[in-house]
Amino acid sequence: MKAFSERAFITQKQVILFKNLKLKILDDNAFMNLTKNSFKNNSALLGGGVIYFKNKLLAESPYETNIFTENTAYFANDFFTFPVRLQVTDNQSFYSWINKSTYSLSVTPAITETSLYFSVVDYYGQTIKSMNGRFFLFIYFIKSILAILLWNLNPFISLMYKIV
Amino acid sequence: MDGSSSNNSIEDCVFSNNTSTTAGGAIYLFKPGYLTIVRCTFYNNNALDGSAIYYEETDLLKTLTLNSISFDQNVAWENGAALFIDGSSKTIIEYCNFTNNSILQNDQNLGSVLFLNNPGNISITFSNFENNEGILGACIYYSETSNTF
Repeated sequence: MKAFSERAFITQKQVILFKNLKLKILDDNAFMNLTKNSFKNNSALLGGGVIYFKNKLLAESPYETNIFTENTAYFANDFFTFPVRLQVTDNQSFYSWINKSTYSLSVTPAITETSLYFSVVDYYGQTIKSMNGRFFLFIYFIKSILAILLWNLNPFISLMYKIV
Repeated sequence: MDGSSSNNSIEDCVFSNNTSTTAGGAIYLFKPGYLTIVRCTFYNNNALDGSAIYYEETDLLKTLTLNSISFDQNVAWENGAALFIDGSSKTIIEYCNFTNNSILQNDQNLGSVLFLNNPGNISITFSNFENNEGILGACIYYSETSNTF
């Protein structure tokens, strides 16, 4: 997993919206498209009457276009177990990762640094595993176009997290 | 089958009553390059993993396409009664029927008709899954190992 801060132009002194902080999941470029399929009378001895996800991060939800009929499982969901998702928590409040590549954080001008903690949670928000350490986020307030241009010449914050 | 630089195709074939004690009861595909399988039937094949097809490909640019395939009454002793995909290439499954496939049930198996181990992009459309039995995920077992810290 690679966590890094995206270029963000912050020009307002009110409560601001810090956008485009991105978390990239290395080796998780897979996209699963399920469209217009029919799943009928399938059964799982344990979980997931149709689909069982192990460590699959929450992605787009293509399930609306499929037909699920009388599938059974011993536990979890009769249709499919839910993928896990990333959760990020900062110093101020609690956030969940909805889109796995984009995250929004609201901060006030007085705050110039915050820490983000990442964890993998299940569909219900229960932690499966937490990442050791934290990601420091430095927040810059830029008042002019020149400052933005100068700032662009600087390397932005970058941290690498290797996951296994 | 090894055709890493080739465009291969298998068309209008029937694979029935084949057995492998390891992987790929009917077809074992090792880095086959671009492969298209069209209008084939896989019936009553048996294997440890991937009773009909075992597919291993790590090249993101390569594509396996299954179109209008019937997978019926295939049995895996462990995983992938119809199809075992191991790798990160692209897989397209369309207009396929997966019926009456099953996994031998014991505590060691994960099961499922389609067993996807760290797959790349996969698209399953206009396909029918009916009367299949598995352990975890009767139709699809999707596993990734990369997203835990």
